Amino acid sequence: MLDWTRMLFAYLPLLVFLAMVVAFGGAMTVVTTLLGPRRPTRAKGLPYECGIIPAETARRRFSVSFYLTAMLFIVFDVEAIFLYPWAVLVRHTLHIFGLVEMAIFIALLGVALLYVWRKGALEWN
Amino acid sequence: MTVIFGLAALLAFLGGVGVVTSRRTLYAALSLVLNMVALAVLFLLLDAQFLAAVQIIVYAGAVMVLFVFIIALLAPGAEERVRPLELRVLLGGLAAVVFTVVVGRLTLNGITVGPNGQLHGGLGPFNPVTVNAHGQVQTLGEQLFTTFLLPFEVTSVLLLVAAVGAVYLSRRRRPGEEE
Repeated sequence: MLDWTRMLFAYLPLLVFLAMVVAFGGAMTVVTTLLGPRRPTRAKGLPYECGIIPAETARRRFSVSFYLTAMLFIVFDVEAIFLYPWAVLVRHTLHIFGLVEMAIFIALLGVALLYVWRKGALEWN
Repeated sequence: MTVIFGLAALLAFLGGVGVVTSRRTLYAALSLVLNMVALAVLFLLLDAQFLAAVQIIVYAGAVMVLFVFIIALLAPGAEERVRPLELRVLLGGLAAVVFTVVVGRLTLNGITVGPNGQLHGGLGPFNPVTVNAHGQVQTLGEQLFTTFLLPFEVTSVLLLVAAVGAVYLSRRRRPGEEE
């Protein structure tokens, strides 16, 4: 029970960080609303698009390239997640055996990377 | 501890409600992110650090990016308000109850909770008592990288197939097929 609480305590900085992010963002919004002058014009009410006048609607379809990128991201993200428990154990439990099996795992995904690369899927357009 | 659990459970619940009630798909997706992050906190409370990491990195990260990109790809407008089907609501509720009972029954198999919340007993080699004593990441890793070595290595083949499939699905059309 005591150990349990101590383990969670390790995540306290994360909670503090999160609280600071929310507080900072919230404070910025509240303070500018309270202190800033409000003289709205039509131009000021336009959506912000890098400072130029909005060129077209934001509700248009996006390129399929985004979809491909996201799918490939998932594949290599799932690969990376296996490294977490492996990294915990490799030094004191798995030793050389673990090193070899992870090398095979990564080599097979290296083939995937090579395929994706050669197919030009990493190029935009 | 109870406060964190209550807060995370409430956020997870609100996120879940947001997913089904939002009329704009993008808001539903963002509610799902809230739900997933809150679930990750619940996993941490259960000492399941690996599951929490997977929840954040794979689900709230990669899978949600894919969801958002699919929404952007399809560019749907607001969903039309339709009357919820009573049968669907009924079946959904029934499924939730059955799932909770079955999973709860399996988890608590032979385990008794002591006066201070500590767990006793438990059947089989891998029950919450033994697993938590050894560490969940350690137990999972040891099993995954020794007993389940073959499935682990086959996973990389599966990921390879997924990468090939992703490239094939979004391949460029030949000239003339362009929309």
